[in-house]
Amino acid sequence: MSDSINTEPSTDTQTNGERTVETTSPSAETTAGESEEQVRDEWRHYEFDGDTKLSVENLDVWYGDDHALKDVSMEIPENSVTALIGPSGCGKSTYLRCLNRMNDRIKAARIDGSVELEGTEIYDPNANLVELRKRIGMVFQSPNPFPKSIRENISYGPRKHGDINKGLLARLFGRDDTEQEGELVERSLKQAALWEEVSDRLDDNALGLSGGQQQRLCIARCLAVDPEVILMDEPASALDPIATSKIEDLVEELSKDYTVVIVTHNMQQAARISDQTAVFLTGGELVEYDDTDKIFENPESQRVEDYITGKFG
Amino acid sequence: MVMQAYIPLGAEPGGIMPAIIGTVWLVVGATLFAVPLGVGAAVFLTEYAEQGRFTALVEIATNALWSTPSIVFGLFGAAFLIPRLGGDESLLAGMLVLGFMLLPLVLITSRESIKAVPDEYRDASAALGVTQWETIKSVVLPAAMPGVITGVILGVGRIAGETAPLILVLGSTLNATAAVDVIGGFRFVSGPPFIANDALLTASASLPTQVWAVIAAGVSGSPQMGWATAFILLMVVLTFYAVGITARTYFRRKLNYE
Repeated sequence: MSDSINTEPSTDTQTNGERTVETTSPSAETTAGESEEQVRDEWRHYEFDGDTKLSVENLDVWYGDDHALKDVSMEIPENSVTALIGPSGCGKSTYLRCLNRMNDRIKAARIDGSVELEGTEIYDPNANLVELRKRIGMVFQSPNPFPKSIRENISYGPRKHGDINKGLLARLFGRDDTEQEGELVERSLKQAALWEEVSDRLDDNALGLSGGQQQRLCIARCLAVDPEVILMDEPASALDPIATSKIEDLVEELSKDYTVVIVTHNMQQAARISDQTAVFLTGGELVEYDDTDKIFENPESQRVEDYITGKFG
Repeated sequence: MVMQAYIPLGAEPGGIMPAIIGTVWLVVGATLFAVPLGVGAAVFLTEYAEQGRFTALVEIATNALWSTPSIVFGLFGAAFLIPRLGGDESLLAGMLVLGFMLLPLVLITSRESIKAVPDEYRDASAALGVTQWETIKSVVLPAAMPGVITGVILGVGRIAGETAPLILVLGSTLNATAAVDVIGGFRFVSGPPFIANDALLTASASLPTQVWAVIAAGVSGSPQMGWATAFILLMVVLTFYAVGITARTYFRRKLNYE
């Protein structure tokens, strides 16, 4: 798919997250994000029980001359929540967007490496992007429902994939799926914990919902195409605390049936909802990847400890 | 090309209805020609084409065409279209010439409104595994529709009152008493394109040319008729505006929750 849309590379391309601390204290070297610390492979190696859903090997991404992601390898277990944390500009969103090939839409981006979904290479030249994105859904940072009714937002994906037929032609041929559509809309909205709030106004425009409701609608829209993996790019960063906690509950609920990969700026959020956490630090480097408890209680890397205790970033 | 003497001197105009029908058909035909072409070109230029020298060149050419004097479009019609459309001035030639005049504005405004559709919609749709063309059809174009219609309204306002090119390509039937029967003129034929319409290839009256002929060129004896025709022309244009604004309101309502 060759997109001509000139999407600006995400803010992650700008390395603005690092703050070199100008101080005379002897610990200045270690409190800054850029210490001389060498990343060890065993920090990034995470042993887990259960099946691997996504397997990433030696992934590099360049935006023009900017090396946004450096040699990242990690395996993501099935039916769990994997949090990606790190300061802005560390490449975590870039990494997330590689998992469903959304970076293909950025012209300047060059991607090298391998991403396998259940053993199938997604960067295969013959890979079917439509199938891939049906299996790996995505929820964006700011809620982006279509300017259509709530019902149309949910059924948009299945209709475009031909799973639901509606309209004049379908009616003429007696293959109108209005009933199935109704069931799908109800099921998806219930999964996204939005049904109670909108069941009486499904034909209203989705832009009339609050930000938190819009974001849950986007999650429902993503669930309607029945994905296996859900990628979330800071889904709660534009929302108030109550809406955020609803999204967090939802993520935990979803992890029973789906593999969730979530990028977040909020470390408490990562600690609350995720099973394992990957820490990216400045320069597009994966520094540590382990059980969330291990990362937050006893990280191997000094820089990761500094980051999660708030010394920089 | 057979240039007819424009007005048979001394003849009385055959009423105003043929002119009203002529103008309505001209505008409808021009819109049917220019809108699909203009919107299609805008989609290609904004969504598919590499942004570069080619698109810049098209943009300059479009702007230049939009400010080209209408008589030049008329001459293009007389010299290029008419010989290819049976050799006589005709309603179809008039429609095409007005369509070519409408095309640049439709293209410019469609491009602007397609560019204004937020990329978030395109991202959201792509992330659902929907192809680019389906996204354009179901998300981008509906969101751009009000802007496209605004362009068509502006353009129709210009072409409905256009006189100079019509003098050259529409032909003179000031004294016609019957309006062109476009709908009744369709008939099936045995060879491709299997459909023909003789009414489109006949000359027709139109409101602006009739105003010009009666008031400025001094054809016929009653100037009142010219003023009345001018008034009717205004009404017809306002009716087109009303249709356009209603359509735009409908599409805006669909997009907004207010």
